[in-house]
Amino acid sequence: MARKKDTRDEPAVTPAESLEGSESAPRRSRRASRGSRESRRARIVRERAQTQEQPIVEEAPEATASAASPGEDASQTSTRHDDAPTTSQAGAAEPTEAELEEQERLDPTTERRRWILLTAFLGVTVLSLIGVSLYLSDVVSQWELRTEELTEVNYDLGAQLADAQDTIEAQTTRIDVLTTQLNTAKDRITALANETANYDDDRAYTAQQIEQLEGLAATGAAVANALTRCIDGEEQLVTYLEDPENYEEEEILAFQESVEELCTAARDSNSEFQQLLNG
Amino acid sequence: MRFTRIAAAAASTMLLAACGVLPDGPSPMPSDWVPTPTVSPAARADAISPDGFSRAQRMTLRVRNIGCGFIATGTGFAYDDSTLITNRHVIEDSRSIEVSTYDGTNLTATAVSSTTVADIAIIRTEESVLRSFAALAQEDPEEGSVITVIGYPGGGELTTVTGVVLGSTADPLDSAVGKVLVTSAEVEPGSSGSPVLNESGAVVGVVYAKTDDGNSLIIPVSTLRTLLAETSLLVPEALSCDAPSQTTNGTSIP
Repeated sequence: MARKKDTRDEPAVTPAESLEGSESAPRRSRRASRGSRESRRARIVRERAQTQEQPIVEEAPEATASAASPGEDASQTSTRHDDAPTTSQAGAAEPTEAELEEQERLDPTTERRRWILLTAFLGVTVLSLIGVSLYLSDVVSQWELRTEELTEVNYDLGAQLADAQDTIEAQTTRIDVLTTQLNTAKDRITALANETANYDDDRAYTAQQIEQLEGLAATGAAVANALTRCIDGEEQLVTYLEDPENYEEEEILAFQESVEELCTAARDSNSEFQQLLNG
Repeated sequence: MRFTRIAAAAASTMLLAACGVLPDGPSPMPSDWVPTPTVSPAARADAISPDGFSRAQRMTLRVRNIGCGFIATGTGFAYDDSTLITNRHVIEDSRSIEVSTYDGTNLTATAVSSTTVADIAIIRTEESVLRSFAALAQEDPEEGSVITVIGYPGGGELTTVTGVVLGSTADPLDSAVGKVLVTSAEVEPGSSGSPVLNESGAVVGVVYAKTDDGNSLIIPVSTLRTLLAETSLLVPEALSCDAPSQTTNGTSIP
């Protein structure tokens, strides 16, 4: 019974709380505001549920009481009859879920709160957009500055590239010329080295020829000397033979033999020399 | 009311999300727009010829055999700063050996040694003036490989010819143990001892003869490596007309 009385008293308090809640909503936290709104609907739903459950809850004591003391039945029944109309009137006055939502929607406090939230949200959004705009503006400025710097660097690099290309072109032309000159120099070096080598071959060959000629000259000189000695011996022999009375015949014959041997050897040497000269 | 709350929450979320996608300002301006070169000329200094001649040309030498009553020429190549490799028949019957470089510089040989295992001889020079040396390949060239021969054919100018490896055969001159290689590179008397290079510039053989059909015969680098590793196979040659000399059969090309 006490619960039923509380239930009945609560609607009288609720508007005051709602009004107070709506007036102090900007100062109160969102959690508190949410708690207030939730409790309102929850209270109504809880109230209806308690109303439906009440007969079931109170039947058991009644049955127990009638079984225990039949004399008290009339007074208790009358008490129940007093309560029953009260309960059925409350159930008939209770709004449905849709009605509650409609009530809530049309409630000026709720409407005001919604506008406040919407305004706050829009304010935050606008502030955020302003912040983002300022940030983007700064970023754009930085990129514009960078673009100018890059353009300047680009022109500088382009100038350097043009200079480098000119240099490369000039150096390429110079390299071509130098390559041609180098090839010419290499050919000339190779030719000169070949000439030097051939000259050294000729020099070595000439040295061999000179050496050979020197040998021939020495041989010729020896042959000439032998022939001279032969001639001298023959002249001496003629002298001896012109005056034979002054010399022993045996000595003249011996001298003649030696001269003939000398001349024979000289002639043989001369023949060999001639053959050597002829090849 | 519920719709208002949802809308407010969605708007707040969108606002926060929008803050995340807002464009940033430009990063600091770079001070240098020119990238650093990856290769500098100094790093490739060793690859640049000092005078326009290639390393192969600079290491190839002309050998003059001043013999006992004759002059013969051949080709050799520098193995290190004072060692040359050529053919044995190039230095036979020699009284003196002279070497000249691609630019006409003359060097005098101080010692000569040869081997009967192959037509190979080693010449030592007085001065360590050689600056470009041969890099010996690790393996013999395969059939079909492109090769380059640099030498002094006919005792003339430094000449480069190319060809391909046609295959291997037994030495028709019996001057080498094992197989020799036949190539299509044209050689002439005076090319004996010429280095045979692969496409990487490494020595893969030594020219020592030509065939009647115009092909050339080369001693493979594997044989050359064996000889250089076994120095006991190399016998010193006496540079004198009185000393007995080794001879080779006919068609080799001094």
